[in-house]
Amino acid sequence: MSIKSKLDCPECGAPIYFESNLLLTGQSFSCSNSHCDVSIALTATDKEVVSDAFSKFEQIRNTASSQAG
Amino acid sequence: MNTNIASQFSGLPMKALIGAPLKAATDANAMIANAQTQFILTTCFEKSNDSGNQLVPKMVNFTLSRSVIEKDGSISTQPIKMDISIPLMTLIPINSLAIEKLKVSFNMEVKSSREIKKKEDREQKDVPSKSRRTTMQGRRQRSTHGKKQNSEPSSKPQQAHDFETELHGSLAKSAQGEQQSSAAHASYEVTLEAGQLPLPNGITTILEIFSKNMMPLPSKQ
Repeated sequence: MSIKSKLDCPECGAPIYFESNLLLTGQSFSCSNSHCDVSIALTATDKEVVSDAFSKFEQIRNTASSQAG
Repeated sequence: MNTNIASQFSGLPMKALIGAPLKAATDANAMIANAQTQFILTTCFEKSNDSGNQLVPKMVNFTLSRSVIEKDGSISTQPIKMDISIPLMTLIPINSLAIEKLKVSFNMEVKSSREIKKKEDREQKDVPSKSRRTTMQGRRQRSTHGKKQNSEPSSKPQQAHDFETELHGSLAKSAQGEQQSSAAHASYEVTLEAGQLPLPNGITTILEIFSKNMMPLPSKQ
């Protein structure tokens, strides 16, 4: 399951919205500020670290959902 | 009646009805917060090689692309790629982990209704009796008797007429039928809402520092 998140643009501070599954495939995401042409993409070397972090986060979120449900 | 209706609620385990779901939600939130803290400490931080047990944020590398201005003042046609190291913690939407709203509501309705209808129809036929029998004769006699004292007795013979009356009656109480109805209604509703607490100041500060200090560096060619 994909996790939607955001990252502050290093140039203008506007949010850069991304989805975890697309980020892990190496896709680049552009800044939401139309005047800023920054785009970022995860490097292949750190893909495993980020994937592991999102998986653990997903587990906690599922636990929270089951508790709330 | 109202007192009786109110007493219907006295046996309700309000403490359990309201408190149990709230406590369950609080426990769940506490468990989530604990798991979240452990997740942040173990996944988003790592022990520093330099200083013993000190935790330092785990960084992940991104490639940043942006246009630059050329020496002649024009915007570059090919974007420049730069490396940027971002704390892993800033990628995780930590603040979404909580039970946002808890609503406990129930309705209880007690209705009591009673209706009594009474209809009475009675027919009565009065038969002639001594008391109701009127005789014109009696009056006549009394009248003539009075005349006797004041004047000469009449030469005409006394004429006596007997009249009998019968009274037929019907007593109906249908219009006055008794009707008693009572209805009581009581509802009880309890609504609780528990909102999401904001992130602790420490985490917010850390995230702000991380966000403000992300500086892209030119990629090594």
